[in-house]
Amino acid sequence: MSDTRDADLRAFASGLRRHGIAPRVADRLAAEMADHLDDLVAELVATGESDTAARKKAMRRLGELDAVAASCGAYPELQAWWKRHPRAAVCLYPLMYVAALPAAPVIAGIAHRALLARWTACLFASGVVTSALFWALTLAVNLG
Amino acid sequence: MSGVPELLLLKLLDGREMYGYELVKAVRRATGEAITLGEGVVYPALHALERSGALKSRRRSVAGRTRVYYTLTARGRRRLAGLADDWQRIQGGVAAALGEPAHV
Repeated sequence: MSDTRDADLRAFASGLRRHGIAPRVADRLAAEMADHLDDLVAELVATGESDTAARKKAMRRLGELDAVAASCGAYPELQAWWKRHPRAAVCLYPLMYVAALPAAPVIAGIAHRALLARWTACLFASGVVTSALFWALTLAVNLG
Repeated sequence: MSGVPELLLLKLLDGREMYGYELVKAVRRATGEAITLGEGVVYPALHALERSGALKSRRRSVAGRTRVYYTLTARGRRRLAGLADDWQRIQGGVAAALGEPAHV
């Protein structure tokens, strides 16, 4: 699998998303396009082309992947719901964010649990040190 | 003409499961090279037909390669019959119009 091919297919998948295609559909279309490209290359190699030449020719035959992505975007059935109902998305997304706001610290805590554990340990240690200092100070005052 | 890619894809998938690359070649072969459907037409059309319930797909591994195979559903068969009827009507209409003597 060549780097150029992978980069082209990644660009194709992000192009699909840019054209409003639902992420699940975009991933599957990109995977099918990868299979399609491999089939084209295999066919060209079978006719005597070198692997490199076959790959170049296959990419040329496939044409501009962004144009393919654009034509996919013309199918309303494949679009993400926010693209099909933009007005509903404008109303619902802010509400969803407001509803998710109380959960945000919990989600952030779970996502950064290692960092949170370190900070908690540091806070606990500093509490212990401060208490010990206060205790020593109190003892010194009482004894003095 | 709109509906032609869907009609051809449904017809080719009637009674046989195929994957995208196979379909691109099959359309060319079946139409005597008169119609070539590009990847930008075939794949979105397949996905749209699947979403509407006319096709179903499954991933199959063949000779170390995984491919998405499409087959016609009962709804797809009805859709094919409808599109074929429409096409026959249009074809008949155009043929009749072409067969008429030119108005001077």
